[in-house]
Amino acid sequence: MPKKKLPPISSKKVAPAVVKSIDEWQAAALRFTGFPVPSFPIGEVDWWQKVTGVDVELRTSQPKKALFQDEGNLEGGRLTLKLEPMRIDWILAQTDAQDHEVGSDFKTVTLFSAAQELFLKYLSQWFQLNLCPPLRRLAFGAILLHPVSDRRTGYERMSKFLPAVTIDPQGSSDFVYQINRPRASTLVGGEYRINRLSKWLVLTQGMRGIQVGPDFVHVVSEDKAKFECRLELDINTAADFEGPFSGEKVPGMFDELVKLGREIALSGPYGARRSSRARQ
Amino acid sequence: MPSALGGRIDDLVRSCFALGKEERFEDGMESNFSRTLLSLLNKYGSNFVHSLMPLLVTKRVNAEVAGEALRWLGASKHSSSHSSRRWLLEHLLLNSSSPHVRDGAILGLSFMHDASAIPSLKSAIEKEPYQELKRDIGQVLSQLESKSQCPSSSEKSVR
Repeated sequence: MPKKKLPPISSKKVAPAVVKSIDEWQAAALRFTGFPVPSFPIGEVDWWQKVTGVDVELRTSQPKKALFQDEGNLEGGRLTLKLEPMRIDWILAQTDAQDHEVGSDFKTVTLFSAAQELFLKYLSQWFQLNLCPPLRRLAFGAILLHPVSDRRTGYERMSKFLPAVTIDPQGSSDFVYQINRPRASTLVGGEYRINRLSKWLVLTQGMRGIQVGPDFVHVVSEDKAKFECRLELDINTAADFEGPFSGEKVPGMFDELVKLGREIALSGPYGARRSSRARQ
Repeated sequence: MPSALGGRIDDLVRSCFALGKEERFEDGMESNFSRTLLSLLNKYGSNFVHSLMPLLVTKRVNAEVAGEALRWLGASKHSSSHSSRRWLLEHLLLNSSSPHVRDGAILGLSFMHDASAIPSLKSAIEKEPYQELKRDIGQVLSQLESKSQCPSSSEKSVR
């Protein structure tokens, strides 16, 4: 069966954004994932220290499982490097200070643009130091949040990103929507496919203080429930195209993945097509 | 992979290799070990391969049993785990210090008929110290370069 030709990515066809600014989203976590070629030897590396210029705060080694992790707080975020067979992850997420703050608001690093800038600053250093090995596949991941006053408001907001779906904002709960909208890349001759996975939901968070005795449990305090729109992005190169991609090519490819993620965060997964249909 | 499932598969992997340690293998013949290995692969797919990797990569199993495992992993037609199995075989071919393991990896790759392995085989033949294994790699290379078959697998999510 002939392969269906995928539409190319074209910046001219990007739909009007649902939100005015990407910074209406807060970045709880940003991720770079690389799948190294088989020749890459598995073991501890000194990348974290070389990239950041400071000592690792916490090193976790599980040699029997071939798992290695370095992490530390940097400029308002926590940067983690994880190595395991077949996979390298760089993750920028919340800091420890926010972790232990009782009654704190939703855990976020900062606004999306600032988080992206910080994350790419360290990734760029990794690329420039020629530490990135050849990869057979790579991915950009993100967890983005937008606090709302209640579930209904959250569903109303999400409806703007998902015009293909009818949500009853008042009478619904536990709604989760996940979709992949693959595209052909503008790089590597256009024969190279990118999966654009997005997952949309409204989360509820709350905290309760409880007193536990030998024969009783009392709720002694309860915070007002908090709601947030949550968008999980997984933008990745398709598994059936295995490069390898040299260290020199990876930065440009990753930029493309990040750009596609931003487009979804601004315009939803249907972006261009839906908009062109709406104009008819 | 959820940690409970991963833990269970890890236990099964260890049991499987404990079984293999007690067996005597005959070239090309199935064994209780190979049947158990393939049964686990068919049931758990790539999750099983991922559980197997640390054991083989960190040399925590008998080299002969490891080589036998790689041979049967390559021979399997389980489609969704094809990519991860091939990566494991190529990785061990290029990085293992054991000739038994490298031999098993070469044999496994010969069964996979996947031309994507050609670059790794070319690298391996350059650095292989044993002539017999060098010859074997050369044969697999010739086979793949003449056939150039390349099955594909699809995995959309990277989480």
